[in-house]
Amino acid sequence: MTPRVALAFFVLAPPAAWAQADGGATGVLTKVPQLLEQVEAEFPASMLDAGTGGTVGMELDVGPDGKVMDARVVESAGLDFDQAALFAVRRFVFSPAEVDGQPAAVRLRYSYTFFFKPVVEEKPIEALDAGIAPGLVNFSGRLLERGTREPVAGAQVVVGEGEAALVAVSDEQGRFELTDVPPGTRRVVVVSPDHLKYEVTEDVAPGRRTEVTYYVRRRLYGGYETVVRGQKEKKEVAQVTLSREEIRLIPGTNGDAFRVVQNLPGVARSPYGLGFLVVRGGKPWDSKTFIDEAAVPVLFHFGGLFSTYNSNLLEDLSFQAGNFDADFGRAIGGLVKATVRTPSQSGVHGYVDVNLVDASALVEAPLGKDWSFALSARRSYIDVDLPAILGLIPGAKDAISFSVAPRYFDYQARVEWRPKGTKTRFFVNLFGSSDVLVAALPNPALDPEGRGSFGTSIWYNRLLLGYDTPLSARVDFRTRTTFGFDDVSFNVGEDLYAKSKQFPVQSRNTFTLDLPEVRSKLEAGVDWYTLPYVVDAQSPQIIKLNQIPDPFASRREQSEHSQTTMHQPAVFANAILKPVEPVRVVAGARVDWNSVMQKAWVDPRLSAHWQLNERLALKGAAGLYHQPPDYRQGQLSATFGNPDLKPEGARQYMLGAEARFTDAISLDVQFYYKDLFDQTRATLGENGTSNLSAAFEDVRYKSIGKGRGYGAELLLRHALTKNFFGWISYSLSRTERDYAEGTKWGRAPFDQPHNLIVVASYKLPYDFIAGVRFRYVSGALTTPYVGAIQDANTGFYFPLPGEFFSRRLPDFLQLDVRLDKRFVYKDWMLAVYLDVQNATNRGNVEAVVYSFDYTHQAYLTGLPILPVLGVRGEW
Amino acid sequence: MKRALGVTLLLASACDNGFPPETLVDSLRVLSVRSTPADLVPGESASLEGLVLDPSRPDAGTAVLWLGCEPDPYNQNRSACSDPALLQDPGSFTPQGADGGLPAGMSLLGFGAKATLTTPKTLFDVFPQGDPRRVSGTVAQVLAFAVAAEVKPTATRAELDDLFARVKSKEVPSLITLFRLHVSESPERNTNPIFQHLLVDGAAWPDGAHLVVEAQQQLTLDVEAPDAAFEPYTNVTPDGVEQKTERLMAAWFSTGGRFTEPRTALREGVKTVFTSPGGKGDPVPGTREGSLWIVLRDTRGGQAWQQVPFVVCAKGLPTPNVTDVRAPSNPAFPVAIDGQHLEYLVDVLVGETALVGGGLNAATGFWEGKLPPLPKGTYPVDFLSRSCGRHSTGLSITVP
Repeated sequence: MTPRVALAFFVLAPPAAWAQADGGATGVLTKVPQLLEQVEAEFPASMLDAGTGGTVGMELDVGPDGKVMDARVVESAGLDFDQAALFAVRRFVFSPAEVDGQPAAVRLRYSYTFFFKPVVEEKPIEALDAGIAPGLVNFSGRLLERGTREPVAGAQVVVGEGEAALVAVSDEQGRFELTDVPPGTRRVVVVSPDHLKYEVTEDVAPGRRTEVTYYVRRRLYGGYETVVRGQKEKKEVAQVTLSREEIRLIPGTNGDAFRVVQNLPGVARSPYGLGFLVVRGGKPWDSKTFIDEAAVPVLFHFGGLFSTYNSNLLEDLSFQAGNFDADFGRAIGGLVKATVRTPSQSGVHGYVDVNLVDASALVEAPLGKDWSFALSARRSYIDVDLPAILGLIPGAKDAISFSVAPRYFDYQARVEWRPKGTKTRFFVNLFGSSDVLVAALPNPALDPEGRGSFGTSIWYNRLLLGYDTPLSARVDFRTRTTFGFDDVSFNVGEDLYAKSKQFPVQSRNTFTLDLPEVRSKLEAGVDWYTLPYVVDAQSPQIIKLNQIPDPFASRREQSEHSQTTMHQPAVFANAILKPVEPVRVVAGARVDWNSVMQKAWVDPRLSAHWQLNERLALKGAAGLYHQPPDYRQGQLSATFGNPDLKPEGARQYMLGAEARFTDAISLDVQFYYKDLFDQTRATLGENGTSNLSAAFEDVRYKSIGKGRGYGAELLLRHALTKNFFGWISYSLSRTERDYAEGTKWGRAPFDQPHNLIVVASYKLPYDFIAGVRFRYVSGALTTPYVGAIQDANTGFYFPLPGEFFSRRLPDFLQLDVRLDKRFVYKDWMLAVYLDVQNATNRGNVEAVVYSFDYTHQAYLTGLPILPVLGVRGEW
Repeated sequence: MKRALGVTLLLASACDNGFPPETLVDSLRVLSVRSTPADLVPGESASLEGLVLDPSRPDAGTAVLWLGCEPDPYNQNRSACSDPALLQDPGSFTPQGADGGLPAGMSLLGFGAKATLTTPKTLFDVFPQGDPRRVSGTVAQVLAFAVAAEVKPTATRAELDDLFARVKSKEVPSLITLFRLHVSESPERNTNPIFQHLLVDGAAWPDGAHLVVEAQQQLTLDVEAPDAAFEPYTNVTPDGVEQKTERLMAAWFSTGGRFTEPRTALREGVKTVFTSPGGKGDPVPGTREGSLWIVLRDTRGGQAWQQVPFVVCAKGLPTPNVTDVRAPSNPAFPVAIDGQHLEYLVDVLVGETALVGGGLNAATGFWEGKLPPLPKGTYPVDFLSRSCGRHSTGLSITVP
């Protein structure tokens, strides 16, 4: 009886905390460690009698020299197997792993499988040596994953049985080869921790090399694949990062990364689930979104169902509700940063996704040795569906018709050059999005002047060039330059319109200097944003808060036809300091200037992170933030706004803690205070004055607004493991602001005291994945009406508002569920998913509607149960 | 975008949410305010009249307090009349003596169904001659404050205070209506729209006649206006001037029944369908009678209205038998109709025009009504009855 040992290994990203403790493993894993010296474990004698085998899962801490510094059992196969495996692996030697091109310590996940094989009588194999020269490779092949065709690395290929069995381990490309395989019919077994055991019989001919390709089946598909990569050390102290798979499987989001952000602490739910990004009670304009550091002007298509950038192209997505570092600016709220991944360098991959709302497709493939590309597009067919849907609503089809029904599309094209084993890369990313809606009201009498149509169109395009390269052993350089063309228009009838063409150019250039001798890193750069734009607008003057507007808009029309170039240069610098090992401090500042406002501002920012121990860290931050007023709404326009406005400002403070209970379960708690100043506010009209003969200055906006927000945010998160991920997000917040030129103080429009979101996804047998999302959110605020007056010129009533945003609607409660099922074929996979929003069909209140004279009111509820069935083919 | 959201909410609110329809007049309403002339030049006066209704108090009067605000020459909407903060408190409008106690710039124009507004002759003196703002003009703002109570012009201060207290507590229904009157030095004057015919299922309904409908009958209604009502005008835009033609909008109201469209634009293809009373939540009135009102508005502020009474007929009732039509020798006297079952007669039609003020004279036993102004000629005499339908008498009448 002779025990045989099988082994396999795979690499996991080193947890940040451990890597930091080693002082070096930050950045990108540029070289995977290879097992150079393998020590065979002895099959425990006690287990021979039992006649069973087992697999021991272990974590190995491998030092920069490739030696195993420590090993722990994370998946026991029994004490005897565990001890035997630990004894063996502690004597392993690996080739050193490299992070950012430098040898570094990493943590590996390693599985050691003990096969029990009964002792068989050894017989000489016929013609064992016949026709084969010793040491000659005569059996080789490649292991590919069934469905994805991804190479299977680290799998063991066992040819033959008993003592004569030969073993090979597949490399990164899934290739393996064996020498001196005896000719004849041989049993081949492929063993990999993440894949089902694969068995086949091969005829090995004498004097010939046998080439094979095996498609091995992953144990579970569609789930929680961990990408073999290093994990960047978090510079920001208040950041949540989501991986691709977390994004894809959250119910109610249709797998859209940017909608997933709406499930994180600090993000308020927007009415009807529309795509407003409301962070810590601020205005949507206060928060910005960047894709590979390029600002995206419109994050969501109409209705907020999907974002304008294909999530499947993202590597990861991070969100900061506040206190971001000085490298980003022109925002006083939160920050969403998405990183686009390198297109496939291992083969042609892609998908086609068809659901009730839109269809999308992606294809990606290598182009030569170091180049690869990706192309994707999405097109809605709401314009086809909508007439049928309107037909189901009594009277709706008669009430509204679409000259151009709502339709959107987006596209992304990326070419990237990324030599393996280096930090250098260059990419060109062309992407854009278009949303068009033109509606005709069959009855133009709804408008006092008979306007019977309205339309809106938003089209943006970006050409993004990116280049990363080390300039020296210590200095890295990163540049992102974007050229854009945007065309935005909105019209009501023929005489009220706002059209704008914009040609934004953005260039962000960042230098990073590593100073390990003083445990510091310096980061500095230029963030230049130039916006040439053409405005063609005609509309009435803005309605002042204390005026009932003249219903005949054509009496008070104003127009602007202008060409402007707004330059917004900025420089920034961050010093990342580690004065003592567990403490990391980021001190930075940025200086911004705006050519239209002719104003400059300086924003100093400071954050600190103190890793008390492996499980607990404290953090805090304070900073000054500014942004220009919303020029898209004309607030800086000489005709419709006020070019003398100040930048809107915020002072942000945060204290928090991070606890890691297990390797998978973590808790992040933050307390924040936000002090808003110089906010742009619409001015009041001069009603009631008796001196109407006096000329007056029509100032539409003033920088007089104040506000404050404070609260606590909690994120209890179970990271991706084999079968489960999920989180509990809870935000407790209060946001207040001034009204009526500072004469009143009240709740801000997006004040949302409680926001609880529970997300969970679990892998089931037979390639099913089930997920749920539960949300409890405080009801939206609305302004109550205390009466109404009739406008005799139109016959319509005009409501008289009470205290601004003083009425809270009933709380929002919703359960969404999602079920995914995959069918795996040799070269491709078919995924069928059912995403059911509002599974309990609860009538959540979204708004209040009133009778014609505002004497009666009723709640307007959101969407009923909405099952979305989709089919997705991946290859 | 706010307009788009507004339209969306309007559509949402149009869904069946149990609200009383806008077209149903069952309480205090001010359906229209008409100015004659329809716009003003500085220094000119306008006669103001409101279409004030309150079917819930058929035998009681309604007080209307007219308040005017100085026009803002800069057309910046500076006016106490359009300040929501003031409009929330009806007590702000309690007149104390000669305009005392009213908000600055506001004055009392009168009590009752009508009032007069005069604009300052020096309104545009803040601008030099030839300034385009003199032509584009501004608006004079007027409030009609209707109170569901009878108030004598001689009411004492204490009586008014008591009334306004009850208005404020909503014990007494009230309604504030804001009306804007265009004031400019433009030589192009606006006139109020002209109502020509009510079109029922595409045909002109006899002038002055009741609309006779069966319970729950559906009629497609429209308004015909003469070409002259669609006035051409010059619109001053920020970039110059443009020639435009007025559009006319009809707003539909009734004491019973339902309309599919509360508003229609004339000559633009959209018509409203009126379903007469008798449906669920819309019973046939005890008298089987009611009224329709059509308010016409042009897109410059001109207004006109027309009342059309209706009768819900029943086919089981006896049909009148008209045996004689006696034309008076003196046009001041009524036309006398003789026959049987005349109590079921609704209107007598001379050609396509109804006799005015018709009804059964118990003393004479005749059904009597006055001849409307008609061109000379001989007209056939038909009648509308409570038993439904239009009937020919086979008789005629000669207008001298």
